[in-house]
Amino acid sequence: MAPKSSNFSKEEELLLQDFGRDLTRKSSLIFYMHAIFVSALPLWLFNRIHQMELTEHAILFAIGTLVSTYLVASAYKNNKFQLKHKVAQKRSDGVAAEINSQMAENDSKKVSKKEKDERILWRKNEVAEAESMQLAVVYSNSVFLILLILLSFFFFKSYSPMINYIISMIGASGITALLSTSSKN
Amino acid sequence: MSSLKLFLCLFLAYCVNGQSCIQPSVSPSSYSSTNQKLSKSTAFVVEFSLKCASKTDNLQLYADIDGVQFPVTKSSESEHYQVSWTVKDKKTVAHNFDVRFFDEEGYNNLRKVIRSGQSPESIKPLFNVDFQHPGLSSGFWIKAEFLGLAVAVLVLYVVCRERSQIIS
Amino acid sequence: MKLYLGIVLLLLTAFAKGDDEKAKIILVKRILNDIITERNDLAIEYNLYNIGDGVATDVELADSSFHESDFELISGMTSVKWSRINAGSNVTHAVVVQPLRAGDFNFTSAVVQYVSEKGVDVTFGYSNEIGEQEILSLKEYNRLHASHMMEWGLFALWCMPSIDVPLLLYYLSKRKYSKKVKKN
Repeated sequence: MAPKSSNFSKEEELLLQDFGRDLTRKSSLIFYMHAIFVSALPLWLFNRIHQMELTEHAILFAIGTLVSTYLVASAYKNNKFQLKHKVAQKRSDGVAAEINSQMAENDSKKVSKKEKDERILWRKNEVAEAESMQLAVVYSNSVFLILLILLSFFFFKSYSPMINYIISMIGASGITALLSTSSKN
Repeated sequence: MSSLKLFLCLFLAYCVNGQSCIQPSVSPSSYSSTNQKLSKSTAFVVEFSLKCASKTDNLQLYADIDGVQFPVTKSSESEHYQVSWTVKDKKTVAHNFDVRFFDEEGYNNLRKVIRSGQSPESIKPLFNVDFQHPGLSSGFWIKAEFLGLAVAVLVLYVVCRERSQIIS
Repeated sequence: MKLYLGIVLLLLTAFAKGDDEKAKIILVKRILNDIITERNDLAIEYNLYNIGDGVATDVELADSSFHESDFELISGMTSVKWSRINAGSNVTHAVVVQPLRAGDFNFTSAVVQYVSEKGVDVTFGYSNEIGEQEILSLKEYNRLHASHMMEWGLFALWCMPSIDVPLLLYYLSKRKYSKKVKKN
């Protein structure tokens, strides 16, 4: 999976890559919030349809939600990392156009090319970060939910509710995380 | 005069015999199965308590429902009667039943009329009971989880398309 | 199936016997429900077949297996009589009850008594035993069979923020930067 025709130098590319691996605190927070929200969603289904009382199974639900949160968050991270570079490539022209038009507006002092390129790079990083995060969240959530529905209501429908919950949650979040680590597509 | 007396005596004898009911007063209740998830067959029950001006020791009633005749059974203890029938393994639709009740004589007349091909409507019943069967319902034809799965697949498809656009 | 084979065999033996005009009543008890749950209707059907040559008189059917403590009677009577059942004909009777508790229940036989011949003492007959059947709890029944449209609809609603919001943001951003390229 060699990168296609890139019009920035090697060191700039590395910079971009590095940005992708480590998550800023803000991104981390957003990811964990999404993960915990999506892991708590199935509780509604299990409470209403499988008739599992929240108070009765509180401990099981808490553990399940936390494990699922961790797995789904790691899926987000992996997916985002895969996507960020590609998004950056796709949006590079658009960002360049935006910066150029911005520069053209404040045409009072002449900005050096180096500074302009720096700004473009920085902005591109920002945009790529945001978009890859959104797409990673949406993609992982969809995969997680569809797996959950399949496991809980089709494959393991007749099992006891507790077993159903454990298998469905761990299965769905585990497979989502697994899929994110493989570099398919 | 004598023929009238004779007629009256015969009539009284007939009544005292208990084989017919004069001035029937009926308080009916009916039941029909409505939940197809519980059972694919439908059970119909029409119960009633009967009060007659005459004695009813030997009263044997028959019911005619949509051209089929059933004997009516009586409770071992009280003046409560019941006729029941079942329709098996067929989804019954909403239908208004007109259940006509005959005594022994009326039933024999009804059978004769049917055999001779005439309309059974010509024989007047002792009394009749109307009851409405709401139909065997099975709920919505599609199960909710299939709908949920379909929506989830749709969402996943849209998202995957976006993703592959980016990755390509 | 076995039940009906049994009936056919009985019919054959009945015809093989002598030709005195005696009535013989076979009582078949059937549960019409596929699923039995507590506090939901349970319909039982009784079929009485007169396989003898004579008329059966004073036919009385009694089923005392539905105690008030275990079942609520919804419709029908458990103790009924017919004045006569002709040779070769049959009658049907139905009773509808509601189990009051979940669990396994042993459904026992019903009894029929009748006079097979004039001047003969009353004959007793027993129906088939249905045996142990499971009565589902209402919870389990709702879990497996109730339609959960409302629950799924609301679930879709709760899912929306977690999927729609990021998707929307992504599309907005994508459009913004794709437009800029088109502009130039």
